[in-house]
Amino acid sequence: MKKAPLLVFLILLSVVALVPFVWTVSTALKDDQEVFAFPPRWIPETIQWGNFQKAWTALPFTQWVLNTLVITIACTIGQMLTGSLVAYGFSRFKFKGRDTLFGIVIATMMLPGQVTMIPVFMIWRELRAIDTYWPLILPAFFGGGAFNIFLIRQFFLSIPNELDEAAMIDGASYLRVWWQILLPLSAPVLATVGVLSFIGHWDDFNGPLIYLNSPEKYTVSIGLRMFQDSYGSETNLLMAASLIHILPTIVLFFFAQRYFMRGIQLSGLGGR
Amino acid sequence: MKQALAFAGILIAALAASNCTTQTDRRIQLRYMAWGNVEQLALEQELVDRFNRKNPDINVRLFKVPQSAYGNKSIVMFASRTSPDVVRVDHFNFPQLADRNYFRDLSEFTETDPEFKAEEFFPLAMQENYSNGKLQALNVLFGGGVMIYNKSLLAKAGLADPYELSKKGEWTTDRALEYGIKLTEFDSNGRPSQFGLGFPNMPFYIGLMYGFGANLLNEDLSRSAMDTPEAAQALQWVADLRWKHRVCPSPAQGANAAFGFETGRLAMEFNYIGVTSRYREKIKDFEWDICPLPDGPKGKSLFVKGNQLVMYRETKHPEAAWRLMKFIVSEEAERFLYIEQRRQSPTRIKLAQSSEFLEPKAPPFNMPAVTESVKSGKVLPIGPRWPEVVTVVGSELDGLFAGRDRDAKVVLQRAHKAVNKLLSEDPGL
Amino acid sequence: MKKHHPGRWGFVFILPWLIGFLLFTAGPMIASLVLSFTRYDLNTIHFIGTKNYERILFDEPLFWKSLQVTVTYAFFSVPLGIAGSLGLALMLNQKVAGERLFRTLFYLPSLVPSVASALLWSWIFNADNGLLNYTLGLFGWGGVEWLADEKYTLGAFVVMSLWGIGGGRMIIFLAGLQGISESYYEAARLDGASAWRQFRNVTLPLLSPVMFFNLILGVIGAFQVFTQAYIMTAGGPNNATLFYALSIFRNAFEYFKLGKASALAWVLFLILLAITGIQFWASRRWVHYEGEAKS
Repeated sequence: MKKAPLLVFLILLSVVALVPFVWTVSTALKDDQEVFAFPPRWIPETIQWGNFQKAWTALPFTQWVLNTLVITIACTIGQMLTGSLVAYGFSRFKFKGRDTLFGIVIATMMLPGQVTMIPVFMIWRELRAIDTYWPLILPAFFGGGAFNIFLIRQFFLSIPNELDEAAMIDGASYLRVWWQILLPLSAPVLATVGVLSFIGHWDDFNGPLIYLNSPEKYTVSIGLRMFQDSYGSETNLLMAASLIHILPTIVLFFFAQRYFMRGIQLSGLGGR
Repeated sequence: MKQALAFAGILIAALAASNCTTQTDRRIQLRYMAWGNVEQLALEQELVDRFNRKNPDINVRLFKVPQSAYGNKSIVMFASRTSPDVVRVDHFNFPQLADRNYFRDLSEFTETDPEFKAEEFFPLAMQENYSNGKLQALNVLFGGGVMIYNKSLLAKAGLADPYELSKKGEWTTDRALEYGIKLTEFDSNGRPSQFGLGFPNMPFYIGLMYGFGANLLNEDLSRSAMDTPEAAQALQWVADLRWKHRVCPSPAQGANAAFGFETGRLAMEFNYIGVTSRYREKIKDFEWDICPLPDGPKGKSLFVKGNQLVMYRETKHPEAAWRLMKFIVSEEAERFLYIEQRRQSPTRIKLAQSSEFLEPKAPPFNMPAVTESVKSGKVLPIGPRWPEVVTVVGSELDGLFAGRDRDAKVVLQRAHKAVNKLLSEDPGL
Repeated sequence: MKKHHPGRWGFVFILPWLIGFLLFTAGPMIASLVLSFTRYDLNTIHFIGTKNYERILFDEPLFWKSLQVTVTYAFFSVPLGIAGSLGLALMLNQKVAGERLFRTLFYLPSLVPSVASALLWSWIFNADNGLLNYTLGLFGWGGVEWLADEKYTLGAFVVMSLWGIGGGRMIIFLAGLQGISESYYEAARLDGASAWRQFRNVTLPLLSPVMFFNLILGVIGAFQVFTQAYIMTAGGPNNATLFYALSIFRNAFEYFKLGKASALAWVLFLILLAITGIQFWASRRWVHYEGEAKS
């Protein structure tokens, strides 16, 4: 087996990469006294499974998980759909001002959010949308952000043009080419956008912080910060809550990677 | 595709639900915002619930915000004029915010409301509420810095009780250093296994500067006062704790949890009384108590600091907002917050001097140490430009506290110049 | 024939972005540009011409300091991060036993919420009893104030950033690698190309659009590092971690100098525009596209 050295190397590397993560798990299972024992103790003396329950019930996390789920799924769908549509427009058509407009797409990533935060907030205030989910979800449906447009466009560009031309000779409309040719071929990138978008919104803190006021509308990431204060943090509870918080994303990632791996047999279709 | 549509339907329904609030309610809707950790926010909620029960015509809703993001959120709300009606702000930010005219002058209420008597509150607590000569807040979560000490460790080392020493005026910085040295222990590898003193971070080093006869800024906060030998002496004492005597842990932010007081591996620390609710819950295997900050060569190191409860200038319900504010500093609320829950020190003189407060049934028992600082401490030199001042001073002191610079005098000269340059410049640039 | 008006359709497809841009981005961007020529302290507002810019460029050592911090950080973290992510992606693209498990394991670090990871790293870098100094101590080294001594702090941040090499960037590389047809490698192998030559002549050119994407994003990302510096070191010690984004945040939300903060943002905007422009220009020499609209 030629892959054996690679396997060994990967195991070693993942051990190093996982040290901090293992510490997170170990901390989540310790009692208050043991959290900072020195020298570091990897396996808690008595494992405190109760921390998970304690962290979860300290705040209305069940409600907040549902809220986070609604926001995150809506944003993910919006970003995948409109992001690929816009990327299609930018990658397959030559129209006046296209490159300038694409330049503007990229440029919007470069202006730091801190200075536009207050004006943007005021727009939502005028729309009477403060303390609703609209400011968090609606932007995802306007092209899904420069990052996704750029990413999907890069991938569309590496799919040979001949494929959609062939479909159009068969009489397919542009919308059909996008939906039936490009999207299926872009499974890896769409899965990537989907997963990254899901994780990004799942962990978003600033948006919910600024736009939501009513505790019953909060998201999990706001709750996590409540375990932290100037008198010292509830480190073990924070870690326990964080682990529960990332569980759905781990599961999602584990199963979604099938799609990164599906691969595209360009040769079979494009005839190169 | 069908599943996607069904899901979209659910989403829209959820969104619609998030949008509507049940508006059959005739009560005045009031919004109140505060920060805190899980337990502290639960106390705020309890206060709000009590108020709502007593005032059936008003419905207060509490906006709970994590501390680390409170500044950011409150600025966005003030600047976009969507602020809640009543807001708690940290005194570190109060003069700066008051300078922007975000708060209502409260004298229209305090002067006409017979139920409110300013003389019932500590003068220092009232003093913090004024900005530009106008009363713009009520003080909450007021208190002074104290030292918290591990009685068991001190007894084991055969050291006299610092609270008893302080009563005789013998609890001094020299003595504290001596305690620090005697209480610091190293393991066989030469690594510290127990520290004698916690690092006095901001604002505790300012308190110590008071004790050495120094201050950060001059009286009207217009210039630096750090060029005095006393200031250098004070900060040299602080830096030497770590770099000469090695009696305290690293000053790096957030890094001290390993030698947190509750672990029993830190003998004495500088902190606020507010932390003790956490200690009461966590500390099971040693005895502990509090004492005042050690006196410096030139006097007491006591300082005070509170939070300010303010009324947003453009609130639609000033009368209702005032009733809420008045309730939060009422005897009932203060008894709940400061005597039952021991969150900080009362701002009401009577409560702070009551036996309920001074003779508690759980540690810390030496409560007069708290009353002492709120009675005779000094306010901190916090003006409208405090965030900038403290950043400039902080970055100069970083080198001293990290052991890169060893001479406090040189560092303070630099800080002095930098602060004076800052204060002489246009505050908007 | 549709082929006569393809341009119009392209415009239709980008409409969602264009509408969103006009509604929520263009206005605030112009607002911040206007603000950058004013003295706005969140209370009063005065037009002051280019004073903010003069101040930043000629009379503000902290501007240059924050630029230096950010550029140094980007200089180390971006190339190292890209190389690391690519290396990981190449390894995980092999058919190894448990590849899915490995991918998930390497991805885990970037899932940890930032509050938790900030606490975690504060502990690892703790001078007195952190994991790093403890481990070094076993070999007789140690005693370094990783987060309190300005000499080491930025290095600690670069190390921290490398913990995330298995994250989003790695996935993007992985997806890119999956997009490369096996037939290219077969052809190369028929020509007798070694593994290195296959990498050099097939993988790298075909992966270049992805590489380019990651490079652009990496640089922009480095200029927007904020949360860790804000939570862990607050820009210290002695401004050693005063990242540019943190400096903007401070001016806007701590010092209430919104005019100056806007000017800082626009200076950054221009810097990034220039860097990105250069990258796009240079990319013509090394980035290889297959399907770009040529008509």
